[in-house]
Amino acid sequence: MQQITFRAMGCQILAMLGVDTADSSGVLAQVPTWFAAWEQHLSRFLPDSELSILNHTGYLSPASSTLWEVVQLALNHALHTKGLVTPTLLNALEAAGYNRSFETLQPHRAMPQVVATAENAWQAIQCDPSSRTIRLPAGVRLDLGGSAKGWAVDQAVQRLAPHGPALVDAGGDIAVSGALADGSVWPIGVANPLMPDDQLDLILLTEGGIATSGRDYRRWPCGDRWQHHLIDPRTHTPAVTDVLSATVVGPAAGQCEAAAKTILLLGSEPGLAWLEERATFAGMVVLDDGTVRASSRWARYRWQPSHNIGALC
Amino acid sequence: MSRPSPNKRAAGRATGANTLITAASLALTVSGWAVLARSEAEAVQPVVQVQSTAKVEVAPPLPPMPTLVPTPDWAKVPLRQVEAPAPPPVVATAVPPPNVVVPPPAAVLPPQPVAPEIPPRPATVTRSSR
Repeated sequence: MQQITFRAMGCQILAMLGVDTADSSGVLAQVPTWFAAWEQHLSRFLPDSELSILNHTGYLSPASSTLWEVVQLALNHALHTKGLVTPTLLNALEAAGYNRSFETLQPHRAMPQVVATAENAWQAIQCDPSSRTIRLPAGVRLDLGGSAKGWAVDQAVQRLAPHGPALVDAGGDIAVSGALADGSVWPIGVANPLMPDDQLDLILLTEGGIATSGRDYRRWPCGDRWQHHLIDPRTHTPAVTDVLSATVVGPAAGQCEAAAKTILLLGSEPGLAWLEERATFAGMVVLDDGTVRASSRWARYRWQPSHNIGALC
Repeated sequence: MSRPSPNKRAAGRATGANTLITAASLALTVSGWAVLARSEAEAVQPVVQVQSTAKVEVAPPLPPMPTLVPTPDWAKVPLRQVEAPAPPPVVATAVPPPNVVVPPPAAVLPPQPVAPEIPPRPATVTRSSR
């Protein structure tokens, strides 16, 4: 097994190959270059990125395949979450104080502002696949933070998969490409948001993705209150919810990322009910008081010894 | 890639929605997000419903989050699994707007793995983005 770690997209990246061959290290060495290239297209913090140009002009033709795919993924997320997870909240996010990369964010003395965009503004984004043209409605700017990392780990795993079973983790959004050579699974811990060095659960995956969304880390003081980065499109302010963190297993990390955000925005009971309706996902939530709740399919992926099936450790 | 001046953004809006893509290009039936009724085509292995035999206890409420303290001194929180309610009936998806032109690939629930007897050391940990 070989691995590489580095920072990109504002988070820690881990890429692993479940084989130790002559070309393993060479292939893994390419992963940072992939992420650096994607960041040039997708980052709202780089003034010359393709996304920043689109946000400044409101129009791109043709968009790169990278930006096009991630915008389409983001629009799919908006479609299937009925607008709860939408890429059109950049103005609200900056008004809440998240106007630079998180590592450089300083406490804000000023009270947070509320900036609203039109309801379901994502539906007014025009996309022409024949020319890869993207046209934004007036006043709408995009943030792809809810889609880019999940898309990137799915892409990276697909590129690594021909070289062996692979796992890519971007800040907790994780994709795996297949079982290890001896048939064993990828074990993935689920962190306790109240005790980050501790593990709530152990998940076993052979393929697919797992992602966690939470308001336990990306938060900052703004005026007299704490803000976090998960904007509720219904209020254009950081979501008020009983969910501290939500973790979802599914067919792809990008979809898991959006599903976890949806659960957090909906709240624990409606969020888990929403997840139960979708047969390709399983998930769990941690509430403010430490209570853990899980969907019915979550147990399929938990490690549990055969003599004590069903108990959470 | 063309980079029109900001004035062209206003002009572009004035030309209307003649570049919208029709919904005919969409293929929701292969969408990984599709709300599917359980069917043989899914090839989903039977789910083993497990019941916890442990006594269910509610953890005491925790104090509010301290400000600007990177590592709070929390007591260990006992964890209990609450069985989720039975899933509601499957709901059909709405007709998508025409700008979603690239449906995601068809997807299935990840396969249920065979668990080893001894808990393996995690390869990595999922958590909210660091």
